[in-house]
Amino acid sequence: MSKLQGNTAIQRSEHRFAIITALPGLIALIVLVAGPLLYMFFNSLFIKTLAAPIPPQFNWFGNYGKVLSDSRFWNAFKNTMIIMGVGIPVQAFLGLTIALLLSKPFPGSRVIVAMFLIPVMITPIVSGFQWKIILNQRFGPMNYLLGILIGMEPKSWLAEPFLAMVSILIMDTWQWTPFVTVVLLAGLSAIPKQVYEASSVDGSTMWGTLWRVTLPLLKPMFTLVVLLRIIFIFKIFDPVYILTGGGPGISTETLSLLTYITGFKNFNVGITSTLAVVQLIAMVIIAKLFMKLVMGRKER
Amino acid sequence: MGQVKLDKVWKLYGNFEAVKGISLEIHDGEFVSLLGPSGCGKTSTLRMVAGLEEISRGEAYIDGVLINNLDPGNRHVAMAYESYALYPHLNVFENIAYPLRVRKVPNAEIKSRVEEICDSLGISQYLTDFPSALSGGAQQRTGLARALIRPASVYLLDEVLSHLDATERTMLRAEIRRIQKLMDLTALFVTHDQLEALAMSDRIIVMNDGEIQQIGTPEEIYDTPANLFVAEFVGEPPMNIIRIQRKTEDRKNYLIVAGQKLDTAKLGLQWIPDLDNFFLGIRPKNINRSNNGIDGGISGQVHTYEMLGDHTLCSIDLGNNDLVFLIDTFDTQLDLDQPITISLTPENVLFYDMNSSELLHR
Amino acid sequence: MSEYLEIRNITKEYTPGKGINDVSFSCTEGSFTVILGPSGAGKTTTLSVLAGFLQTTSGDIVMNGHSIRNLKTRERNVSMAFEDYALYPTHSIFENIASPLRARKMDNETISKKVKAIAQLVGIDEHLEKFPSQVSGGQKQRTGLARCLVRDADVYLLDEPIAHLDAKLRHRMRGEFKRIHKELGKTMVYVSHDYREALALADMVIVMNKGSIVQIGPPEEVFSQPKNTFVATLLGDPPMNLVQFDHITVKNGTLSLIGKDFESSVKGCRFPDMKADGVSLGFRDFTVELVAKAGKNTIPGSVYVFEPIEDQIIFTISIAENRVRVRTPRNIKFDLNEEVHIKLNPETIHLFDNRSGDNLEYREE
Repeated sequence: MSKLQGNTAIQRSEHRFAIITALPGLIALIVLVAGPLLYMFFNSLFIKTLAAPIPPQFNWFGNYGKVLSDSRFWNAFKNTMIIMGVGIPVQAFLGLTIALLLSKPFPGSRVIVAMFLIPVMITPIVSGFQWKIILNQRFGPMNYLLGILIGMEPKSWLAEPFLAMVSILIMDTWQWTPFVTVVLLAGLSAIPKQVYEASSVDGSTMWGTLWRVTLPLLKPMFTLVVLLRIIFIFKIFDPVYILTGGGPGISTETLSLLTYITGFKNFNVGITSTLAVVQLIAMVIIAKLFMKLVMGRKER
Repeated sequence: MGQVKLDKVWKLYGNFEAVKGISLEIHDGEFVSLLGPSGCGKTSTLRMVAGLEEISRGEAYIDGVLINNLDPGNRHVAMAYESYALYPHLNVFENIAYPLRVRKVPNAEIKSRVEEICDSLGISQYLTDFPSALSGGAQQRTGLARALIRPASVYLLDEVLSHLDATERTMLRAEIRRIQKLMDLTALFVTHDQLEALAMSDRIIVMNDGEIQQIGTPEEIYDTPANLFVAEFVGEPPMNIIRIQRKTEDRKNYLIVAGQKLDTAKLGLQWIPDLDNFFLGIRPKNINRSNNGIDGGISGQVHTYEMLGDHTLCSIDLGNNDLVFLIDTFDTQLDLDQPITISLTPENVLFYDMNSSELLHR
Repeated sequence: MSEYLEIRNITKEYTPGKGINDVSFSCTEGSFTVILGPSGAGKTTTLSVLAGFLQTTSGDIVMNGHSIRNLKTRERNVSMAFEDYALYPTHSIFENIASPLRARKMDNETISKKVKAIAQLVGIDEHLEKFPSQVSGGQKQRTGLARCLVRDADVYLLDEPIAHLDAKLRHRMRGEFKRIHKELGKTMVYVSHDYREALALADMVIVMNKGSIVQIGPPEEVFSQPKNTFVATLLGDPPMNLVQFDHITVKNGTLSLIGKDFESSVKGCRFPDMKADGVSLGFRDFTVELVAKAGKNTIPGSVYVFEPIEDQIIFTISIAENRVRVRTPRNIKFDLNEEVHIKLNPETIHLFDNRSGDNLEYREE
């Protein structure tokens, strides 16, 4: 006998109602998400450009071969990985430290938390220009301050490959550390107070409790926020576009910037779609690897 | 060794006085309960002993050492909690091992000690389970095992039975008491359940409004409650409290109970307070049915009655809607509104002052 | 037959394992019937079938000589009170109670009179102007009860009407219920998981488990003559003690008990002659005595723990693998692990089959 048959008429009609009300959302989801995705994949199989009046030409996976053998792609991939590899640990460490400091309420702590959200809320364009001014070689406050404090020579932050990368990392960290902090704060507030009390009665020190209780219990939130940052950095665009434009040369060009340039400067639809698909696959692989790393440890 | 002493200890939350200068002593090997309704200050008191709350005023000692400024970990106390407070990310074994891990006890010793304590609490089969997979009873057993795993001067038990279902509660109640007696532990137990306090304690400290109402053995608390609060809080159904007016005629003393005039001599009372008005307290178990019309009886009507298996609980309307309870054997035949006469066991009659509500002595 | 309400072989199937199976019982007019059982026993399903919320798969319901099986709820003239009150939050207490009367288009004056009378009976008359959100849980429960009782129904169905109250209030309401029932003189079917309510209120107790009726009888009978270990342990606090034995024999009223490492005998039993393997001895905590020396009708054990409660002491005694609880007067003193003997009363002991749980006395009949 089917499950529905045994239920009352009321339950049956409720079930129907639930399906009917969910349907528009489901359809919208399919049309808006799956559709474009499939169209993008479809395009990636063609040689197709808008720059010249040539008809699209089916090319199997030729575009993929072209992209994966292109050194400019691997340069962008490397740059994205550098930002990820340096930015995430720094932001996670800073975010955790600040969250721990703010987790015990003190006078004014709420105001500080609110202020912390400002960088997340400011439009990236605005904060980008703001940092461009701060880092300006001649009149930027950064050089001025460093000059006064440690007597450093004025640097041209955005014109040297190494410093340009550092600048992007500084802006990204400034922009996203508060986000990490706020998520971890939510995680900390969800840890029952009694567990800390139990730990203190059990004779644990502050560091012991942090190590044995707080961090393990924060792990799910920590995992979540790092995963989100991995996804966000994979798509990193605004700081690079505004601060360096990928320069000097292509020394700070990231994957999404490369995709943008290919698509909207060179109008190469086929290659752009290929880049997007490759990016998507790479992101899924990296996220999976990260989750495996985290979960694997839990099982042991 | 395990002694606790509180000397005029206060707990203030801003202007609110949660604990008002209480003094008490717990002796080595004693099981002492702090009994009272919610908000009476019992939990604040326990938490001050544990070091989870600061002592606002007064002094607290454990084994003769002033503990006011010691961290919880340095007070030689172990604690179990109402909502278990287990470490959710650790399995049962690691939860119980935690206090030992903190103290860097070697692994082999941890293993044998955890297994031993789990055996005596009946949770050996759960060692690798996580707290969220366990029933409330098994979680609380884990919490107790974590407290009992290491030697402490005093074991603090904060409402450890109140989240459990009835069967688990009676079982664990008995087991805690057995372990405490066999291991000769000193324990301070907070509860709002008078039955738990009576069943488990060597001594009970009844609290209300941040103040101690009475300290005594379960028998003393039950037999001679020091004031009306204790009288009504301890015992189920609670003690009957009847308003009494005293009259003297022809050098004889009479009690007026709900309009009925009773001769004190015939009631068998040895002594009555020298006051015009007071309360009489008598436990339902100390009221008997007597044949109609007998002298020294109070008459009324059966308001309602309940057969409860081993006994029948009957409430009697004395007029003016005053209800008095009577516990009788289980085979009682009763009818609603049936006239009934009751007599009081004179040696169990207590008197309370109308203004101070204190027990009146001869 | 003078039965007022008759339930004949009702079966109601939901998904497998849920529902009720071949339930039959009857209620005389003006009687108070309590359906007692743990959650999942099928109590509320039985009540819902009576109310007409659920259609039965098979069987019949006969009221006053007429089958009502195929009637809709509103055609059955039954009234019901719900465990979770189910009050209308936007109506005052008065209007909540009045709602069944309003639905029947009564005039205002009659409504007002009836509501006030019933409100007084259940003790909610001082709160009629308030709204459900402004009164306590106990008062909500009383309101739900008044709404159920305010109209003239053939049968009143009460689904755990006092389950959500605290212990003290529940105790009081239990007493009040008896008066309410007497004053209204109506047929009531009451569902409960608390054995106290069943013993205190019922004319007839119906014990259910897993969708089937286990035992039907007056309260005294289900308490003192349980049909199996399920009934024996459902009623009573603490539940009936059970001690397992490998083998028993009864001859000429003498019961011989053979356990793992001890033997005992009880003389003067009412049991017929028999031999059986794997049997539990059942007795209630207040029917036995604790003595220091072995003697007539005793079984040996040791003190696991003792707890003074009010003017009594509850001893937990270990007998081999079993733990039993014995209630004694306060002057009985034994220490932990001390050897003691439980003196049984041959009149009040029971024998149950270990495997099926059945009371052997019932099986013999």
